[in-house]
Amino acid sequence: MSDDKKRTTSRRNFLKYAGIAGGASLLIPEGLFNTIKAHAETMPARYGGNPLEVSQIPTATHWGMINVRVQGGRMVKAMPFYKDSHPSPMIEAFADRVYANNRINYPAVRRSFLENPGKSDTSKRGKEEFVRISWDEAFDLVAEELKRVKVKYGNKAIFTGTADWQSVGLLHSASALVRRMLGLFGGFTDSNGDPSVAAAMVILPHVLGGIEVYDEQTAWPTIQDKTELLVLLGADLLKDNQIGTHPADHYVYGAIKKFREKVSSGKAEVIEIDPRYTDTAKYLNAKWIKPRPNTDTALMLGIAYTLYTEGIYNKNFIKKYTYKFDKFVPYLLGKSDGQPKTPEWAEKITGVDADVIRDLAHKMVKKRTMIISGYAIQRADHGEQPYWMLVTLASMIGQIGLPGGGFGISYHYDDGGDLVADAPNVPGISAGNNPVKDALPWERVADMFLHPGETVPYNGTTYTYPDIKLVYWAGGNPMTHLWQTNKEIEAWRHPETVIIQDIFWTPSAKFADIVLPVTTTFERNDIEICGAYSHHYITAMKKVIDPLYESKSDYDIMAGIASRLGLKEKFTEGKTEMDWIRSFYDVALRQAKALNVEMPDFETFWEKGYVEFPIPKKSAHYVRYSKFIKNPALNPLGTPSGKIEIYSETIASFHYDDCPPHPTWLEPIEWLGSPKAKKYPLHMLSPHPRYRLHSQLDNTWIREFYEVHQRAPLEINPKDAESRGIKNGDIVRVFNERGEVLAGAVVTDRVRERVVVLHEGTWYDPEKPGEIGSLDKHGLPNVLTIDKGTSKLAQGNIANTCLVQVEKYIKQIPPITAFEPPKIIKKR
Amino acid sequence: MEFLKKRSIKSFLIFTLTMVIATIMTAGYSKAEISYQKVKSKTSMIYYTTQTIPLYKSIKGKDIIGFLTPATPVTLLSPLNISKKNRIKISVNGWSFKEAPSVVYYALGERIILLRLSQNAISNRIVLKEKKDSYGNTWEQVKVTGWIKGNSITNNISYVMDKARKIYEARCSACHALRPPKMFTANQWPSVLETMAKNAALNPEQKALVVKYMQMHAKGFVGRNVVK
Repeated sequence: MSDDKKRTTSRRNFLKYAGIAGGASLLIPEGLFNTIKAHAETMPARYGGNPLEVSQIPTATHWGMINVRVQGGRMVKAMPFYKDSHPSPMIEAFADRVYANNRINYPAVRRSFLENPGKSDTSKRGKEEFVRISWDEAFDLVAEELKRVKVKYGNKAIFTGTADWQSVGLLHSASALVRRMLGLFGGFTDSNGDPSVAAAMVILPHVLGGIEVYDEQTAWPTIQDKTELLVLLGADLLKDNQIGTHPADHYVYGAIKKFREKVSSGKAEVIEIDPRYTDTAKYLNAKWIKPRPNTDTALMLGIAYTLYTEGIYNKNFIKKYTYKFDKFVPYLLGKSDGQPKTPEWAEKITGVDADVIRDLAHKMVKKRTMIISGYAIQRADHGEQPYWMLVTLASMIGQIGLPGGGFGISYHYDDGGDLVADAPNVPGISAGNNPVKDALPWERVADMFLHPGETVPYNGTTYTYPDIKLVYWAGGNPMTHLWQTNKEIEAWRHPETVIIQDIFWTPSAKFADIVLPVTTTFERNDIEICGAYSHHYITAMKKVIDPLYESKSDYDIMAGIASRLGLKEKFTEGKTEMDWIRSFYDVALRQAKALNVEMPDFETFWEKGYVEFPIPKKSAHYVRYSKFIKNPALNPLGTPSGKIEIYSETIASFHYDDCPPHPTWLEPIEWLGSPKAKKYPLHMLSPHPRYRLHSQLDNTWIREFYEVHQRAPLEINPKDAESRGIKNGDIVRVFNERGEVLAGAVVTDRVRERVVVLHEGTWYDPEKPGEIGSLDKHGLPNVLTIDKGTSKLAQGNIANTCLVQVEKYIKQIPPITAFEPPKIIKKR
Repeated sequence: MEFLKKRSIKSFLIFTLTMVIATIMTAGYSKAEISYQKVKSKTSMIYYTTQTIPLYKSIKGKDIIGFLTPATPVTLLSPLNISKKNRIKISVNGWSFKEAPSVVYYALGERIILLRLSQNAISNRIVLKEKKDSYGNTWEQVKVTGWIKGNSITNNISYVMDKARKIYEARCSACHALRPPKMFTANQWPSVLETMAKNAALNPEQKALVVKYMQMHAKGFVGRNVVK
């Protein structure tokens, strides 16, 4: 097969899988789809291999277990693991990603930083050229900077905000390794929480006694058997289940396919409550209720009002399983604030007809109802409230703990609702203890840089911002990830030293002082479990090809720095890469023995590439909260009362004006109902992208599949497009007082009027690199979002609270440069 | 358990002496109160379970009336006898939900499980008093007496806590930053670890240890000053 043909096949397969993955390409208009398809199939290959030497090697990624074909030492193709019945089409782009033009080839330092380490002009970050250095020089420089900052300012001045979603692998976990190295060095300022679910992680322990968002969900077979009404409240199950925090097993695609048959036969109904009509909704032929964004709490209050005033809520459930519903009722009825939360009241806020709201209420209590929400509704101003209200509503419906009933907020990725195997567990490399104990509420990174010494309230405590002098970020892309990019750039100028460790010249790497090149998953050995909940497999992750250029594995880089700091022995514990992998497997072996589960020795496993574990029959009957429902006194929740807290004494004791002690509708800082909507009349949502993992894979040809004239697609309703003279395929300018980006219009009636969708993770591409306020040529939504906390309780991000205006872009269209490496010069 | 064996004879003497002194010093206090007092010297009559252990009904026989969780404070009622074969008599003091008498917790409102009794052993409890909390739950202060294997306790709580802390630091920092115990309350931690234990590859005993460690150092936990 010629190189051209191989590449073409990848593209064709991508399209094929895209179809299988539940019509995931549905949102791309037909004409555009064909154009991209034709374009994709004629793109020439940039590389190939010697066809005489062929091997097939097992490994894994966030997208699942795969086998990689290697020809003549080059990775040519990733193929799905043969038991993966619903592989993600994105795996077709892996080879392209490995050989991307913007791989970081060797260590590099920003020029003026090299001339004056720690005292350089930081406003040159993001625009200045880099100087190539050797690994020896890089290790020395990083170690010297760490020591300098430690001596001068203390360990607290060192920060890593590295979150998860670095490449999978229980050894080469960038976030654990950077913490391990810095912890041994005496500590660093760390961050608490998780930007995906920041509000949820703080509010739900008060309400349900646990974190809830990472919990095993009521198994899909019970939904198949019992659910009569499936409500999708801001959840697109077909999209994000392509990926997992550990390699995804893609079980849910089969489950959803089967549920579709139930829907077709009329035995179940699906209602989507979402400003978008998602692929999942389309696939399940859902009825669409489209509220204004950020008004979910008001909508649910309208439903709750109906249930309460008509006396059709589950009084027994409320009495037996919840705490102080009676403190919430006066608010619901308007006795405490003069405003009854009637469906008519909710209609004014949400834009959803009062009759539709009443109808929803009636259906929910008549049928076995499962309400599935994603994480999106809590990434909004006062994002604590919609989840609290969802739990309150589910309590009033009274089906929590019943098969196929209640609520679930983790069905949308990691195969939530998967069947759990009888399997041992595999540990990973540990970060260990961090002597610096105070941790930043994650989302407040920019404020920490900008306002050292100031305080921020957080969940009943007060955090004082340290003065950060050195940032070490490994395996992440904060420049696209963090909110309100122009504020971020200003903040990013505060630290004296910024170290980025990555595979590619991401926008963040370009904003760094020291850049360290990392190998991809395919260039190192590792081990993983497959199925974050199911633990269905343990998979070998074998080195597929030799490290490209001068890149090193995350482990080797951190060990190299640790070595310069005199910590090598402690860091490595005298183990090699394979020693570690074997030690993780051995823990699993011991557990398997205790569980009486069969498991081969390490050599047999490594040779075969995986171990599969049996799924016991009982897994299909798992119902979340069933123990609590069966005996709430014996199995109390972790709340102070042991029950579902509709009123929280703990939160009441904080006296936060922006987080009252029971679920409450609070106006977001900006939304379609606020005066600001006159100037910026469109509400922008920035959900997780369909064909990326956040910003990962943006530097592959997949981009060509969905972008519009190389710009991120902006989904816009036909009416909003027409009134602005915008046609499908036009380049548009999206803007507000915080910034401006270019995007490509995709006119579709699958997004509500006055709402636009611009997926997060697009690589930032400023027209004037390093400048605050530059036009972003590519379409990063965070240029427009607000960097503000959900409330004093959780301080979560509010990415989905954002008003914008859109206009047709008529000026000369600047070329995309996001994927070009910066200028790199030789050392003088 | 090596360190216990070495000190077994010494411990016996110390135990006897302690019993005498304690009886003199604590005259006028209820037995329950005495058992919770922190005795600063190493010669405490309070010992701690080193792991999850069965609580037997009597000095001999296979009747198990329940299981004690790791680091549970027990009061010795018979001389310390560090041996796998010999059993010693102990009592456990704590609080139960009146509606779920089989679970004995550390304190009223602090649901740190000390003992899970089997359903048919609930009659082994002595109820000392009854109290309603501000959430409307009725609690019973209880005392349970039974027999445990002599080699399953230590008078050094740090021995158990250090073991737990090492597991926590090693296993709970692979997927995310190590979360401080103060991040959640003693009541919340079991739920949180229920979610997390799997990916942390904790076996049931390691999980029980880590749960106890996190609870004893949790947000808002005042405790009875038994943990340093």
